[in-house]
Parts: sequence; C-alpha cells; structure tokens
Amino acid sequence: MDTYIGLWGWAWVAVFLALFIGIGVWGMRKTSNDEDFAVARGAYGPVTLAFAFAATIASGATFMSLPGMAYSKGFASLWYPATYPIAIYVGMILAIKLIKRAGDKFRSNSLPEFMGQRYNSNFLRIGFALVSMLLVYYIAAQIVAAATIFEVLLGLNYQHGILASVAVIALYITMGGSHADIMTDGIQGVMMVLIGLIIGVIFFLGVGFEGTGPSLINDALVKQDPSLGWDNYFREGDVLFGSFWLISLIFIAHIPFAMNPHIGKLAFALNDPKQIRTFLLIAIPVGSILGFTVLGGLHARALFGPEFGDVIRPDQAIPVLFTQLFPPFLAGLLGVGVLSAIMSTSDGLFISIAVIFSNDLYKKTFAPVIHKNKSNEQVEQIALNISRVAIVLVGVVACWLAWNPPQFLAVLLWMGVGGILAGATGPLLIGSLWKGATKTGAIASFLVGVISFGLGIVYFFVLKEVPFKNPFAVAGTCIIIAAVTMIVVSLFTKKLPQEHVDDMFGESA
Amino acid sequence: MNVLTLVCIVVLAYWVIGMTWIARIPESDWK
Repeated sequence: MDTYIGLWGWAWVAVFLALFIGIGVWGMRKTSNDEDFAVARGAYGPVTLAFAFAATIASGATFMSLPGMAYSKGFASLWYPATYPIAIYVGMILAIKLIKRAGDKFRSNSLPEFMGQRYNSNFLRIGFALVSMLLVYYIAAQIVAAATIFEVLLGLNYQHGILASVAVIALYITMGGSHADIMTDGIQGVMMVLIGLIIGVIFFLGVGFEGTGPSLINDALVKQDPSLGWDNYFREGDVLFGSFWLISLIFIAHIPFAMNPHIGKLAFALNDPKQIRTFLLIAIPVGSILGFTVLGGLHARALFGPEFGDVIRPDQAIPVLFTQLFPPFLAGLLGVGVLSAIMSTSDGLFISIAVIFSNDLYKKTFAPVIHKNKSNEQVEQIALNISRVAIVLVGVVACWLAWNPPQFLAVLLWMGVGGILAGATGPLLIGSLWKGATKTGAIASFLVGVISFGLGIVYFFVLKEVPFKNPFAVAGTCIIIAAVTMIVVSLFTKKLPQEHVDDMFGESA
Repeated sequence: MNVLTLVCIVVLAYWVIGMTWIARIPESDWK
C-alpha cells in the first residue's frame, strides 16, 4: 500500500515547523525569568488554554495507539474514548480551583512544588519531582510516534525522523519556554479538533463504501469477524474491554490524569481564577471530540481488512486512512495535524522535566544551601539557564531511548504515568478537596501509590508471563488503594496547622 | 441498542450535564 504523499507532505511540514519556531522566537521575547519559562503565569485566556489543555492531553496515543486498538478490537473499544475524557475533566474540575488559587498565591512553578507547599513537605516536593522524571519515557514514546508519521507520509528514514522531531521541539521550547508551549499547543489543539470532527463525519457518512451510514462499517467488520461488531458491548476475554469492571478501572485510572506535571501546570497560566468557568465550558466538548479518532481505526479496519495489519502496523491506521481517502494536499495537512498531537504533548513534557531540574531541585532544594549568598535575580537567571540546558539533555536522552525502542518502552512509559497518577491521587486530588488531609497521610498515600504501582507493573509485565497485561487496571487499583490510604492515615495523624490550611484554602473556602 | 448508540448517548449526556452544571456555578465561586 503506497502511503507516500510527496511534496504536499513536505510543504505542510515545512509551513508548520516554521510557524512553531517563529512562535519560539516570539516566546523568547516574553521570557525573562524562570517563572515565565516554567508556567507563563497569568498570561493566557480561557480559550487558548482550553485548546492547549486538550492538545496536551491528546498525544501520539490518541491519533495512533487508540485507532490501532480499535482496528484490532472493534466497536467494544469505543468505551475508551467514551470514558477517559469524562474522568480527566471530572478530576480536573475537582482539583483546579485550589491548584490555581493557592498555586498563584504561593507562586508555585510546578506541581511537585505545589505538592510540597500544600503539606509543608520537602520530601513530597523532591519525591514527586523524582518520580516525574520518568516522563522522559513518555517523551520517547511520542518521538517514536512522530518518526513513524515522518516515515509513513514523507518516506523519511526513521532515525532521521527522530532527529528532526527532537530538534524542532527542543529549539522552540528552549527559546520560548511555556509561552511557546501554550501558543503552539493552542494552534495545534484547534487543528486536532478539526481532524477529530473530520474523522467523525467520514465515519458516520461511511466514506469509501457504497451507500451512507455507519452500519456499512459495522457490516464490513462483522463480515471479517463477528466479535468486532457493534452488538458486542464488551469483548469477551479481552484484557482491556472484557467486562464492565475493566471499563470502570479505565475510568478510575484517568481521574487524576490532570495531575501529571505537564498538564496541571497549565492552570497557572490562566489570567484569572474567575475564567476557570469559561475554560471548562470550552474544554469539556473539545476534549471529547479528540476521542473521535478511535472511529478512524474502525473505519480503516472496515475498509482495508485484517491483511492491512500484515503490511502496515495497526497504529498507522489514521495516517494511512488519510492517504487512501483524500488527495495529497489534504492528506498532508491532516498528517501534520497528527504530528501536532505528538508535538503538543512532547513540548509540555520537555518543560516539565526541565523545571524539575531548575526549580524543584536547584532553586528550591540546592540553591538555599550552595548559593545562599547570591541574590534572587542571580538565582532566577541560573535557574533559567539550567532549564534551557536541561531541555537539550532531555532531547538527547529521548533520542537515545527512541533510536532503538526498548522492548518494554510501553511498560516504562506507563510506569512513569501510572506512578505519577497513583502518587498524586492522595496529596493533590484528595488534598484539593479535603482540608483534613495531613502531611503524614499525603506522604503515606504518595509512597503506597508509587510503590504499589511499580510492583504491580513489574509483576504483571516484566517478571510474570501472565496474559493480564492491562496497565489501566493496575493504575486504577493502585489509585483506589492510594486514596483509601490518604483518608485512613489522615484521620489518625496530626493535622496541619490551622493557619496553614486557611492560608491554602482561603477564608471563603 | 448497539454500543455505538450507547456511547453517543453517554458522551452527549456528559456534555449536557457537565456544561449545565459548570454554567450554573457563578464565576466568582471559582476565585
């Protein structure tokens, strides 16, 4: 199957990369200290941030892995896009008010710093920062996806695709920091929503088939394999979509997803806490529309059949669908949109890891000891320089990991994300809602969440050759355990000083 | 009812309930 779209692909890629680098130059002019670089505090309105938020959540997985999953598992996989946006936005609605209000008040530059401030705990700040470094595997997975897009649409060598992806992202982020991150993500978010809508429309019209309607796609799938059809609410025996309980665990696993450092930090960039309402009103539908990409996987399977999986990997379903249904001019534009999804997640990850080095470790941990004689301005400048050097280092590590992806890349990716989510559930999610959360409860919950998830992943994915390979189920279970630990330990341990709690929640809270 | 119809109902219900709920909370309550 020929997927190369020639000069149109190169033209669109060139236009968008030039645009992103231009935004990097613009962002550089707005970045004068580490706070600008880390969070761009109060610099953006709710519309830009709602699209940037959705773009940061949607990654290579949204446009590649999920359609690939639908291609392999059929209609039962629709539960994933139906549940994960609801869980993510419910979690965010519960936590965003405190994170935004108190984060601005205490001038937090990252979620690890905020977690430390919430409980007056250096251990939580450093612990969450160190666990968050595992996000480098998340970046590596995005780079693998970007290089695959370059390979499929432009015929570029895979390794050259890795270098091109990392070079462009590192360039505009090193220059423009969070300003470049949020502006590019806003533009990329709009593109991704348009692509999600196009995928939805062509699915419901049954484009490529004789006739109109999604029943044509269902009929084609049932003809290939009855278990792929839409009469199957759950896929019998499947580790992801085999039962209602497994779907529930997918939902639970995503509730704390906005507590990922590269996502939660976007709240700090909102102009005014009052704008949270407008932000959420836009973010709710926008986030769901990006899940429509799963329909593209069903569409590709119906059109191309199972033998397509022998020629091209299932996770290439969306780009291949574009090249087969649309002229090169449009396929190239849509392909660049998929690239946008990957880049918009990677750039936020780059910044979050850089800020761990510059803010959470240098400025808040080491500078008070080794640079106590330097002025605040000098420390800020050193922190900004550390951020920029860290971006380059993270880029080098990501290239190395993506060059020959390790066998357990997906496992390591989820060890990072799942560990962060399980660790953040108690201290950040429950701690945003409950004034009675204690420091001991937060530390216990963090440790139980991170360690139980790590052990679960090692047991199910590395040591044991068991068929139950479901990271969502492991994460969902560990999140429940961490939440219970937070509540139980907090009930029996020393409360935080009332003055600190009032300061954090505000008098009216 | 097939799973596509059910999922469409779930998503639309989420939009309507979620957005109505958020819209009813006054802006000042988020401060």
